[in-house]
Amino acid sequence: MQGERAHRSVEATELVNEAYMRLVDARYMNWQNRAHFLAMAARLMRRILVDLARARHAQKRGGGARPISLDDLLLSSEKGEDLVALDDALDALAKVDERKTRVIELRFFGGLSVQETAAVLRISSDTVMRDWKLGRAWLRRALRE
Amino acid sequence: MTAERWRQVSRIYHDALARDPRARETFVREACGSDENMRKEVESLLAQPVSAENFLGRPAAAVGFPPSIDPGASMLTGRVGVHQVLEIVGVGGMGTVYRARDTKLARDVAIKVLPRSFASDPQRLVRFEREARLLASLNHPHIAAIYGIEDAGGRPALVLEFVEGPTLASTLERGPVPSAEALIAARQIVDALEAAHEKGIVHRDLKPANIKIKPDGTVKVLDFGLAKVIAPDTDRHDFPEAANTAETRDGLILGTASYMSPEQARGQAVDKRTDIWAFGCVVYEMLTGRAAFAGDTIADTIAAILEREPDMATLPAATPPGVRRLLQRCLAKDPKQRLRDIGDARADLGDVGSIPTTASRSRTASWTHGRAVVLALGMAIGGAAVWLIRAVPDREVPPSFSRALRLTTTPAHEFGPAISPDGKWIAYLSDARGPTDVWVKFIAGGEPANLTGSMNLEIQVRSAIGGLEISPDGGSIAVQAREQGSSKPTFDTWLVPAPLGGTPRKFVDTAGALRWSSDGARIVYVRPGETRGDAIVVADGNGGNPRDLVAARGGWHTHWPAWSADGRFVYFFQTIATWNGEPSEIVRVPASGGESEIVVHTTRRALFPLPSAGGTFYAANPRGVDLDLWWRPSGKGEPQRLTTGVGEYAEPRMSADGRRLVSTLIEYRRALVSIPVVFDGGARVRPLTDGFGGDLEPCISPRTDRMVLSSSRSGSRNLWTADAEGAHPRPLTADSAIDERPSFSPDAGQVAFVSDRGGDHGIWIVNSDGAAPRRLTRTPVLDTLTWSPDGQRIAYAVPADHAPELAIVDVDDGVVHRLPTPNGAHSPSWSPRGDVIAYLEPRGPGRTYLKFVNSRGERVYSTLPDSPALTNGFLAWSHDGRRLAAVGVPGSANASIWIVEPDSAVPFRKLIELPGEVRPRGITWTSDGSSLVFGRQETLSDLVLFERPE
Repeated sequence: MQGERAHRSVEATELVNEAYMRLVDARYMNWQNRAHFLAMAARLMRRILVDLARARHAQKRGGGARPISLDDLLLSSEKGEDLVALDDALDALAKVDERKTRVIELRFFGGLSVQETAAVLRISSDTVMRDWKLGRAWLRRALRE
Repeated sequence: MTAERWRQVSRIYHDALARDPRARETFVREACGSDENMRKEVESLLAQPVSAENFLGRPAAAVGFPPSIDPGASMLTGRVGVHQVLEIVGVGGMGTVYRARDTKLARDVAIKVLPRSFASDPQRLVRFEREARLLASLNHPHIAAIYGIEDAGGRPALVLEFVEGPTLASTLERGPVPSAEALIAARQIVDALEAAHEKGIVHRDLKPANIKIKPDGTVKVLDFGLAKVIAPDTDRHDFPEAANTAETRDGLILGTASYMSPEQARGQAVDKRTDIWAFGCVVYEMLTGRAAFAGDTIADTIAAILEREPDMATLPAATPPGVRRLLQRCLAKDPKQRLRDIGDARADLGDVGSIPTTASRSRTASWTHGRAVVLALGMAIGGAAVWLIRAVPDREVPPSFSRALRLTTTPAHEFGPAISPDGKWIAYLSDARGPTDVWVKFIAGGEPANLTGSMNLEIQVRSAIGGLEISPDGGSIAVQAREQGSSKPTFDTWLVPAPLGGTPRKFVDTAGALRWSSDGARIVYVRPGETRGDAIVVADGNGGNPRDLVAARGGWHTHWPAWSADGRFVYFFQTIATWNGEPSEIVRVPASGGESEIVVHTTRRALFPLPSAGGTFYAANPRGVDLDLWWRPSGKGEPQRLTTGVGEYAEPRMSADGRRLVSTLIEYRRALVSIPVVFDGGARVRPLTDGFGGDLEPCISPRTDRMVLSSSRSGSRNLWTADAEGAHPRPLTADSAIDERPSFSPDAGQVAFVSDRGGDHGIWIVNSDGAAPRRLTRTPVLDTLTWSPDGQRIAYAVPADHAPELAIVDVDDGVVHRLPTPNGAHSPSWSPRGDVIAYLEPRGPGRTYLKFVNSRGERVYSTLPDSPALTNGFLAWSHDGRRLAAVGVPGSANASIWIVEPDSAVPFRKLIELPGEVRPRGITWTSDGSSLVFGRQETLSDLVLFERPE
């Protein structure tokens, strides 16, 4: 099965489904508030994507398929960034500025709007926008280095 | 970096960003002073082109293939096969799309270059080519064609029909699509989906972005089946949870998630019903400008799809009820409950005039050899033609109408139409002004004219018993009316000069449903007799020399007399006086007098006979709930249905040359509502169910706090159980019978109901879990069923020789005995507390009062003063037996609900008067007695014109 998996790129549908399956479970766990739920969703989405990307890396090292990359999945830039690298960069950013990592996680992996992100993190929309700008600049630089 | 240092970096960064780009460098240099590292830090962050690249700018899972950062880098140039690539036109979920020129055929095509990963999997490529060939066989005017497959520099490319014009998605960015245009577009999408589904091809990814509207209004559905073609092999699964979802892939981004069906969202197998769901989403979004299911995140969107109902309140007010119901049926979460075939949507959308091909087909095929089935047109486009289609080979040739036109589309009620002998104008009744008036409208166009608005006339509103009539010379309109403020209980026939109007004059006293013979020499009309029965009278053309053609018979209603084309027969409708006119039949009698013969007999309704050359038109519902127009040939031929679709067709009338037929199209909204029993002004009606399931006749058991109701939500009228709020409905009975008027036994273990299962009307009993339905009696039942407190007997009203009377049947042995009540007793309600049966008793025309007896027929509460008139009403005791809900539905006034407390000093109190068009259908008390729940029936009616070709 592992060999077969290697032949496939990630289907967005499957991501949706897997994230949803995990979320449904989360819901049954009776999360009290929506903010927590949304934050959870973003975290889950990040983990699913990155896990898949890591699996791809492993397959690649084991000889065979291409790694999953942002190029495949997220960006069509020729030089696209590696999701794993993005994940690492986010971890690094978290050490510098935890909140900016959360903002990016919620916006990029969770698909939340600025207002929702603000509500989840209990900060103003302006702050979200500022974190979002600087956080992205920081990450992009980190990925280019 | 310390937190403090990072805060400084952040502040300088944001301050710099707030400045003009040209001033930033100086600002940063000054702000950082001698701290060179900090300056470098800030400058390197400012140098990141995050906005220009839209870096991380789209949610991860929402990004399939976002717009390329640098399209030039991977731009396809030069030639692909015989195609000269011209420009990039889109970057979508399934690859990059180019516009190219087919140099051989000199036409533009679209070339969709698929991801490189395709080429590396030979099996996938083979499958892709096989699927693409199947799709290429789809040749339909509303489906963008697949021309072929090419190799584009090592990557597979699809060559597609190039469709000019914006996608529906970009149109929708500017707001909703006007209703008429939306429905025309919807109709074309239906055609496209139907053609594909017939070939077993499912789109799988129908959404506004895949629909293009060409400048001429033609709709093209793009990317048919591509979602599957481009998917990897479906028999390989990475995730057990996502077993079959490989059907659709990369393109399934957040935007698309909105159009995912619940089964897609759950990762279950999909079939054509997934397209039907998506179609519902698209139509909803066209009409409202908003996605039916939307969320800011995928999780929210999916939660909405799986759990929430779209907000139907945001549909434009003028949205035809048929379209509303269609949306409900398309967006049923359970695929099994969903509209089965997309073709079935057509009737609800109306056959909009964009399909001359089908119209001409019906003309040639059906007019000469075929059986034209006139399709219903549930929709309204002001004055636009609506085409009728479908030719089925058949030897019987009924008149075929190739075109239909919605004549009225107002929110007012139009009914009782008549068409002028020359077919050029119609007269009809409408409450557009408020009160009901006679209106005239020329079919060729122009504003309708109100002929009676300024006259001192009160017009009879009950359309089902007559409607208007235009004299053979076209100079008069006959209408049932009486002078305003008249104390006269009955209506007379008046004549209004036509078509321009003038002073009305009384024509025939106490007469309804008047019709002239085609030569104008005779008239026929109904002399209403309430419970004594109606008589049919023939007279000379000037009203003189009246004689009864059909004598009144007690308990029988006879309506809607009509002359045969040759004037030798009078056709009419008759029914025993049941609640809803079922069973009923159409009979005819020689105009010179004699025996009547049955033309149409049914256990359900058959009414509005319209004799014509070769056969008789009428309205009937032999197989369903709603009336359709039927045609029965005079010879041996079988009756044929002429209309389909949502709503009831009634009151057909025809021009003298038989080329134009006008009919009333009636749509019902039937919902359960609740109202608190309070007299402090707070008695407001609150909806429990929506109006599209046909929910009526609720009955709540205080033992279980469960409700049983009659509902047509499954397509046929059956019983359902639900909680006391009408939620969580479950079917209790099935089959194509009409099951109605359910009543819980006192112990809640059984439900008695009225049904025509087996072809006869009768009382049936079913266990509350749906088991063991069994017939108790074979009898027409006029109105309500009511259990004795001990659960041993059921009381009901039965048609007797001259008028209804009460009967009691023993539940164990089915033995019936009549209750010695006065003629006309009906609507019994047995008190749960003791031996008191409340019922209604008529006294004089249009007057019905509340009375009480015990089961031996002795009067109870005989000293109670007269109740308010409760004509056409019904009753329900509260569960404690202290109060009674009494509904009165007078023919020409608003329905009211009264609360009756026989032991109180103020025994009769009006709870509410309902709006004019609202009729209660069944009423029950909540378990705690604080509120009433009743079926609320609202009727909408418009006029439709059918035309024959020259």
